Amino acid sequence: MQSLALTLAGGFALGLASTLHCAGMCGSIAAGLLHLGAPRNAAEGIRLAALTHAGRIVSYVLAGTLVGALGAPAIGWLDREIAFRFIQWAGAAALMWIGLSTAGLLPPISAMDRVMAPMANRLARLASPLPGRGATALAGGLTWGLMPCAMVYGALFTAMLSGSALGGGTVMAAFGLGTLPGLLATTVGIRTLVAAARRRALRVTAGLAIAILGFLTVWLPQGRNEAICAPSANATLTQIKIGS
Amino acid sequence: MSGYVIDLFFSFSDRANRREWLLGTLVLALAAFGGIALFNDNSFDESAYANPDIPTMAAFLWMSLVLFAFVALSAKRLREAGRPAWMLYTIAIPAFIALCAWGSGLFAHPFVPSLETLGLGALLAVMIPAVIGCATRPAKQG
Repeated sequence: MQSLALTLAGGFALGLASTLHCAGMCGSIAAGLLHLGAPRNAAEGIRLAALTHAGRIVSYVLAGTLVGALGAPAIGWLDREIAFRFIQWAGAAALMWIGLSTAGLLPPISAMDRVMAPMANRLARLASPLPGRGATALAGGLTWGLMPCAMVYGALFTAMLSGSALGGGTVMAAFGLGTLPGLLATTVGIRTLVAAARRRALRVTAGLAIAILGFLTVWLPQGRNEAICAPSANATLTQIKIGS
Repeated sequence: MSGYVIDLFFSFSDRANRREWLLGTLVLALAAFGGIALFNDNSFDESAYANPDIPTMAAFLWMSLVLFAFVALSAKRLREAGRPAWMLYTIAIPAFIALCAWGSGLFAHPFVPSLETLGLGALLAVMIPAVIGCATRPAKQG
């Protein structure tokens, strides 16, 4: 139970940390999808926005469940001590890469784009003739969740390291929820966030904060990093189902 | 100013003059040694099985970042000096191999004669022409 809470907290924190990135990259998509549904009143607008974001988070959860299930046997192969070290190191390296690429210091992870972009295009073509505003909003959200995005790749990597399908799905569900505040704000037209995301100094600051957090997970002395490193050393050791 | 520093160390586009390359290399060397002194401390040891020959992950990540910055800086300098693009690989590839070998604990004793030391010397020898080019060649005219 405690490890699930930590997994949730880790995914949610990653989602929240992505706020500026999401607002800059996906703010226009969020607003565009809402206008596509042409809501007739505020209540319908809220319903369509909820369906769109639900679709997006469902895509994340499905992808997280898949990579979590694939990651479990890979991690189960390793010796317990090595598995823990691998997860800690890979998590730190991934978080640093996400942070530094958000800050514009390192190139974004683009290899995944080649896999995700054709899937998103195909799904968009399938969804285009759907009848009804609700179905269109949901399909739009599902497609949106498969759009190439560096932050999603980072979260998926964390989901893979969770070592189980449930853990992977949980990380991505929490990540999706963490991205909600920023994206909802841009959906309803708060342009300040989008403008903030375009300011280099802010992007660099937010990215460096994520990178430093990643670095601290391997630099702080053992036993002192539970506060910032979720899942913690002990939680991770008990969470991985070695050989199962 | 911060934008200039970020572009100098992390962008592969544009150019860098000799003074920028020399100063940048000096800063990176100081960052590398300072980082190793700070982060490769065994009280922070989280290396597998606490092998003292293997650097800590924090030190390894720091060195990876410093190396990336050095390659980016050298790319800009080689472009300004009019050197061919493949010369960058003679810096990047040996440096990457050396980093991985160091991370695996192969270069823990660089001053003790051994096969590993010879390998380190060979990697450095491959880098020398490009590094000398960066340090000495004037900007290409036109």
